[in-house]
Amino acid sequence: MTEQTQYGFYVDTSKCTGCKACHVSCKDRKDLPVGVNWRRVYEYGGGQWATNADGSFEQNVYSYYASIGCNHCSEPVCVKACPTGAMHKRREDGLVHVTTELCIGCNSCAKACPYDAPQLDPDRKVMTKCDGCFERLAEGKNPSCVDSCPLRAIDFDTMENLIAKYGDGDGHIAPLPPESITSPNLIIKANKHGQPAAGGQGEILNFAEV
Amino acid sequence: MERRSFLKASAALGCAATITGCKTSSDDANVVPPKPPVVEEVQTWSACLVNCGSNCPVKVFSSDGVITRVETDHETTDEYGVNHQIRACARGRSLKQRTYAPDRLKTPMKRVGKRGEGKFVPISWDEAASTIASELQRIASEYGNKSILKHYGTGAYYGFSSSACFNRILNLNGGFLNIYGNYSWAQQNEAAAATGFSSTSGSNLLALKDSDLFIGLGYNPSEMRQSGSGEGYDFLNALQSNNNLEVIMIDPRYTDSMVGKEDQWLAIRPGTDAAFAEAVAYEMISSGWVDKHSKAFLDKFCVGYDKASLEQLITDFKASGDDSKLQYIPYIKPEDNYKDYILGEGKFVDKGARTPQWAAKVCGIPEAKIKAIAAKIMNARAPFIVTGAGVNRHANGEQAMRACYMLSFLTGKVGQPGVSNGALPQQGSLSRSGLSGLANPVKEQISFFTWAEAIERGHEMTARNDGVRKTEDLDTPLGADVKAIFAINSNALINQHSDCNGTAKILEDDNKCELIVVCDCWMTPSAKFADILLPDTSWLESNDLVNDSYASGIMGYLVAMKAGIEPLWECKSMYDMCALIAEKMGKLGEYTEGKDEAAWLEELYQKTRTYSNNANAEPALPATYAEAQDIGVFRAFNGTAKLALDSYINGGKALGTPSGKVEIYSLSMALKGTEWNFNDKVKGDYITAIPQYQQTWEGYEDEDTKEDYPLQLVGFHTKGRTHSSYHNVPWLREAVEDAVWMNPIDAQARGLTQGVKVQVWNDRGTIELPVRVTPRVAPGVAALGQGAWYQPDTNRTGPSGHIVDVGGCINTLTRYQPSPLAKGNPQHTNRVQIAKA
Repeated sequence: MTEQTQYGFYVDTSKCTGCKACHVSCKDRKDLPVGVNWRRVYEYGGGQWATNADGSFEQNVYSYYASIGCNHCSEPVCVKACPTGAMHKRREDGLVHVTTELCIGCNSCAKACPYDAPQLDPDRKVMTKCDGCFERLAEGKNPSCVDSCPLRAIDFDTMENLIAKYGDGDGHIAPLPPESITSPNLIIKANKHGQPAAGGQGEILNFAEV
Repeated sequence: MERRSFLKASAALGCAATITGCKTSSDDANVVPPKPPVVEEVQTWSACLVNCGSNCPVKVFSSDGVITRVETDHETTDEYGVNHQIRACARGRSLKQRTYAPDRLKTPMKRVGKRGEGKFVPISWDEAASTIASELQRIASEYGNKSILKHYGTGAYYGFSSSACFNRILNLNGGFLNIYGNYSWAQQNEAAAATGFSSTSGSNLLALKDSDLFIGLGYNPSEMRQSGSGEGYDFLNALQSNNNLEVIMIDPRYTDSMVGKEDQWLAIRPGTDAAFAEAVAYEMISSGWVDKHSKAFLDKFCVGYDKASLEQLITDFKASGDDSKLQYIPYIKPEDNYKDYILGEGKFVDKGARTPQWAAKVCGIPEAKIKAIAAKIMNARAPFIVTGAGVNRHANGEQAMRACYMLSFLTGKVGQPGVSNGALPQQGSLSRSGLSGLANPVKEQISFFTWAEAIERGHEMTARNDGVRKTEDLDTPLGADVKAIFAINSNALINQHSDCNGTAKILEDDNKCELIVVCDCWMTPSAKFADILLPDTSWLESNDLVNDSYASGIMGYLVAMKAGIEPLWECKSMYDMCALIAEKMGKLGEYTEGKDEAAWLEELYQKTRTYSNNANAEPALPATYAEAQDIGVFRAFNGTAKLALDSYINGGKALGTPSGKVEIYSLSMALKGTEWNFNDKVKGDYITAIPQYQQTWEGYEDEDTKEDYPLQLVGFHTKGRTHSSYHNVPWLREAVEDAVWMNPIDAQARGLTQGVKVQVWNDRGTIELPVRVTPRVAPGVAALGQGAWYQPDTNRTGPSGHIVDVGGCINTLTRYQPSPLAKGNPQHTNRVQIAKA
């Protein structure tokens, strides 16, 4: 593995049905408690309704899902925000990890991250997050979320390999923030209803689930 | 081993030890067993056996007898249509938490409080088995075997240690009352059979490659069939591999089967699909298109399209001299034909034509859009129409299904590549041999849905009034009330049946039904109504042989399950617990036939090996069951595009209807509609021979309830449960919120904002839960994922005058009113009001 290696995710939002297999398989791997979600599936949607004189409906409703863990960003704002150095980017594979022993649970990284990737463990008072399933990678396996996906909508590899396979994708779509903030290692295939990452007309519809 | 000891010790301290109900709050459900210190990991194959249609294999990792994690099939190169993996959904992936749930039933228990209160004390297996054996004998001799009911239950699709074990002991006791039908497909099964086919006989999704227009009415495989080799995955692949396909979805909700896969969503009001279908038919007929393009097809393959068709049928039947046909002649009324009905002519002139203008007001789809859909259907080369089961679960479900089926036949293209008949798509399957329940000496059958009514008036229920089957004649009563119920892996004793509050009242009186035995793994709402509770082993503790189940997509498979851990606490498999009961009955030899679990599994496996449709399984089935268990999963994908009614249209094989043809005019329905009794006070309780949109009680057009209950409430299958299975898993409750969906227009009118707690009520009950304000549901319609566990807060009374169900179970609001033909469950026909709690 060279120093340039950078792992990343690919998410096909035209296939995702919001089934949450990724979210739950991730929790099972590390016995994550309720409230700590290393992978979250955002339901984004919008559209307007009107009723005609005869009671029939007109609407232009749309919705789609985006499954997001940590994008192991090239400019990780969580790392910059961390006062102790607990949050760090690994040189060998580009994964962003937390060294629990150094973490003081100040939540600065969580506040800085526009993807909500750092998730505070309320019992242990330390930050936790997607670790890229590094122990599975060492065994030559994919992260749990990737292999769990019933719709084959998620992939993971070095960014070099992902770009070779999928190209640069369609650019990020709402509710994701603009890529310029953190240079995320995430390639998105856009849903046909995809709204722009900045200024989308819809809203997140499932706040209780993410 | 320390971990095992801890789990066993916790059993003694658990809910069984004290005279209280099991606490099931999510607080203590969050407990996950700590990691054991030993690292050597064992992997075994199990499967998820709930009633979603698939039995996905799961890979269970355990260490020192404790499950450490659950993964899924990853054994192939995952090429779709070749060897794609059978990936479990979120539910299967949560099985560790479900297996170790704090509300697991840990020992046999008997009721000590009022029935339904949930107060139990632990008893020995010996006492449980003795009590059941002696009560079975007593009830059979006092009331007859027809008074013993094996309830509808689908919580565990085992092949060997299944609820058939209970059939064996009930049959060794002289038999039990049979049920027909089911809560999923009651109306559509009758509607499809009356029309000439099975409700799951549609062209398979591989046939979509030849289609240019897909129309789904209430069709939602992406939420219903979530398996990674399930129908949802087949649907995605079918759509993504056909760029020429236009996809139109018609549903009250913008479902996850859309989210970008659709070209157009048409929001429709619940229970009005027939009105929409009739308006499309009007366009096709009144424009002269049918006369020009499909009249010859209708004349050849169908009966009842027009008057001449029915006159011809009378002539043909008379000429046949066949008594089975002659008996229908008095019920064939040529003036009741479909064409006259749609056009508002002849006998139907007073009803008026079923125009798009009329239908738009009813169904909510604008007139112009109905006309546009009709034009698309007429212009399509190969229209593929599917009517989903949501359409059938209504007070008028039978005729709603039939009305939608008609569209395919009106095109005259059924039997051609890329065309379907309106039924749900066919699926693939491998076959497994299962344990026999032995022969039942009792012949009579009641509708699955009428069991609680049969507790009160089974003695007088008849074929003519109640749809009882296999009685001597229409008026011979069943002749027995239900006195004993065996609810095996069933939550339909309260939760999944209609009208929870009303059902609870019937069950609470233990002078009526005198014995309720519940076998399950968890303290479900139904378990709380048991007199005797039997703790089953979970799938992960079981050796068994299962197949893909009944709606698992085109991929067929078998799973040879091997217990990953020993049975927890005092749990026993159904096979073992029924052996104890059989022993007390003095029938152990007949029960076991001299075989133990290993011998049975080997025998069932060897039979399974002989089935011809398992011949192509990969890998090939090895010589012994033990070897099969080590391999785990066997699969085969049949890549043939299969066409609906191919053997009839293209092969000339007659259908199962009295005429042998597709019956637009159903002879069996004409007969039943005339002979049976219906209730004048129940709006919509009648049967006509041709499909007709029926206004019903609590339908959109029901003026009696419109004012008090302005919203229609429709249930749906949430991704976070399978029916009520998995409700007690905190990971899933977090991942998929239980909230009542409401359109922003309705929310604004009520001052409701996202996530606030609301009460939903009608005359039958009140539930309390958060509201999800979302544009994904039509105005005037509330939608709620079914299956949440009924949890009465007996300290509070809701606006309905009942306890408040803080569990948010939709069946606290649904009505017990059997549908006209199937005597099935109308659980999507509800009107409610909603306000801030």
